[in-house]
Amino acid sequence: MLFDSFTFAAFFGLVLCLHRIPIPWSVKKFNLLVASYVFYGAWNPPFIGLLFLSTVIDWTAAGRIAKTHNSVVRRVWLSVSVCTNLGLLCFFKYGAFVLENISPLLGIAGVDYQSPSVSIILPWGISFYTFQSMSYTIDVYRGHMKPWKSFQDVALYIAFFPQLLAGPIVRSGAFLPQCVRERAVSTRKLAWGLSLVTFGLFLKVVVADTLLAPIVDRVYDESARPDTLSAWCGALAFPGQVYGDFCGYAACAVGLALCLGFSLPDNFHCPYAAYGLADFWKRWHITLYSWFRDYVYISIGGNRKGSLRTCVNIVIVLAISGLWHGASWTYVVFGFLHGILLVIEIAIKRSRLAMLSLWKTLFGRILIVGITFSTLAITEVLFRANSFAQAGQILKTMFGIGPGGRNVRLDSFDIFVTSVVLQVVLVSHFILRDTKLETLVDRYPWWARSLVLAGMISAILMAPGDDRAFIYFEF
Amino acid sequence: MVAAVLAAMILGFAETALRIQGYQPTISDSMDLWAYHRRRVYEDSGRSVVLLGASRIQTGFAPLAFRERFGNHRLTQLAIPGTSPLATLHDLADDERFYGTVICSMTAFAIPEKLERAHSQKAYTAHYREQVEYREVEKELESGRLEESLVLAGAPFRLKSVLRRIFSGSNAAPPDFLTTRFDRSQAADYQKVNLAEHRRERVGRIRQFYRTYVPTEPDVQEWIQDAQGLKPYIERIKNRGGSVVFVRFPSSGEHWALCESHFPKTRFWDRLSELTGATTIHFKDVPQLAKFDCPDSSHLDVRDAYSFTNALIDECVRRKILNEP
Repeated sequence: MLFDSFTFAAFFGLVLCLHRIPIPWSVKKFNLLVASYVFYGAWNPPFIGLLFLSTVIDWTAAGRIAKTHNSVVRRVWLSVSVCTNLGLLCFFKYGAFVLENISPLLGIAGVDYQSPSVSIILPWGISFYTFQSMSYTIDVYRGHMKPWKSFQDVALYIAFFPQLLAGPIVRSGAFLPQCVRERAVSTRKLAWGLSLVTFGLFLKVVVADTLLAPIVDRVYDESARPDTLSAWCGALAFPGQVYGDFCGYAACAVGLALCLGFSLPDNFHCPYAAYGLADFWKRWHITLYSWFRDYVYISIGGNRKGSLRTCVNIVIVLAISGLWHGASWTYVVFGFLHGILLVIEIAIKRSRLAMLSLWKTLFGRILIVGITFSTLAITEVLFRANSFAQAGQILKTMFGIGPGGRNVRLDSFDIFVTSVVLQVVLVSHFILRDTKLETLVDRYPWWARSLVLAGMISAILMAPGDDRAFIYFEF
Repeated sequence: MVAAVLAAMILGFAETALRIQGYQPTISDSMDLWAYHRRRVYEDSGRSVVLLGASRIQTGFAPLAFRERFGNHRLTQLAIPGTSPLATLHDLADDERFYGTVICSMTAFAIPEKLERAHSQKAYTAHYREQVEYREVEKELESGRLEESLVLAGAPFRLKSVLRRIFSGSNAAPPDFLTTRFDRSQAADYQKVNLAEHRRERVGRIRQFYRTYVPTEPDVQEWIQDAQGLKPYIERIKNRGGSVVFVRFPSSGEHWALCESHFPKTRFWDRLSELTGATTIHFKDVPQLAKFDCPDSSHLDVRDAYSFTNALIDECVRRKILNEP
């Protein structure tokens, strides 16, 4: 069930009521665990088995690692965890992709092989919970934390429904201590949690699905040949759509967890006000990129082996993160491209260009934000496009190269909506980039906050039309 | 809490204002909704009645009248406006799990296979056959129930439509004469339209349709062959314990004249039962059905649908197509 459904509202209402009854904390945690499995099973019941398997493997591996000092045995158990989780991920997410690509690869070697055509269902959330589950074992292996005594707590950590399907990817050290004793949820906290959920649903249902998604879908349709203005509109609308969708989900996740007394990390912090790509990747899907930094980038050497190796490591990590998004070469190239751009940015920051006093002025900062956002919008054409050919066609149309299309011409309303939404997003990100949303909201009187929330609730209820899953569910 | 109450007040006020202006809740039909209902044609004891056809049976068959007399039957409306029922009939015949009663609104010109219209429901049956995720079913249920209850939930009053109208400075279209319910039945209230103009437009469109798609003198042999082609499908349903009845719903005036001029009843419809093996009911043959007039020449008004349905049920019971409990 999706967050933006009445079924989920009824489900969460029931869970919340049960959670606020004065019953023992262990029973409450058990209820949350059952609720989380029901939540996941509502999509496709058999895949509960995968979630449970990942949990059992990592619980067992972490326990065995902590019990021995034998480095070989420790490595074996670590490998069991990593191989199981990555194995599940690779099979379900990349199995068909590998089979598709193996024929041409073997063909280059002179082997004529036709791989079978398979259709493998991608379990929702597998990219998230496998990473989360693995990180528990890795942290125990590295000595960052001791194995947790309660299997129920570990199971809840991995399956916790607010963040199960699309993050944030929570570290065990941040979540498990919260399971030790119940934390009272004050009325203020409950209100803020529900406000975050409302804000998240507004971003997802209104901004992403209602206002921007139809524009993006028209431009990126398989048979679409947009004109230049429409191509630009679609390219600019997509970052807005994916932000509304993903940040909306993350806000809902944090808000729901808060209502249940759990604190989850922020996953976005005004990414479109980033000063450069390095800053952007610290503000976008924060928990995923910190996961890659801590478990991949540092493991392959990080910045400890010289400048050249650092650059190579950056490119590798971003290419892998591109692949994480989906089984398609466009994602890999998107990640690779961003790796290259990041390396170029590092070089620029070390040059004289970076010393100009212009960058310290307001105009200079706005210019950097504009350049960063434009770079993102243009490279994200590759991310959104269905193929390299389509990405190439849209990019050429955007820059007036080659014959433009005519069969998709967005009207003035669509262009107006895109420009207004983007301006609001960019300006609000710029204003909030160094502060927290809660701090800003607290400055306003209760009646103003209530009016804004009432407006959002009304817009959410008036918005439903096309049903769209959260984009990151499909990763 | 304050925000929720405020939102409820804002929406409540808007809903009331719209109802005062004559707007009624209506759902947006879709392939997903059709697939949702298609999944529900099964009933273990064979007490399943499925309605096929196009807009005539959607507006002319009142589910309430049926449910009052056959409360223990499952009724499913699978008609699709402006299409031929053949693809869905084939689909039900191929479905081993289905063995209920099919009441199919049929016309002579829906039979010819070579007309593109004959395959017009294939997209729906294909969509139904694709895997449907739970979330699609859930969303269909929720949005459908909401649209059935609230004017504000309908397509013209969704946020983007409202914003678009504000942007262009235009008003909402006046209340529609046609409303669709969650069970996919429709109510046509012709008191909400300028009937003379509406009828003129409709007849004009039908004439254009006939000019474009229907031969002036249909090949009778070809038509007979196509009609016979339906027999195996109907036999399959009957062999499983089900039944199929083709019903010619009423049309009046110009529309009836057009149909008769191209497909005279005595040369075409009257042979349908013998060629297909289905029971046939033509409104002209049953006095209780023939007395109804179609305001737009082709569809019954909502005020007549209830009595028409009862008269049709009486005929079905008389012919032992349905067994009244």
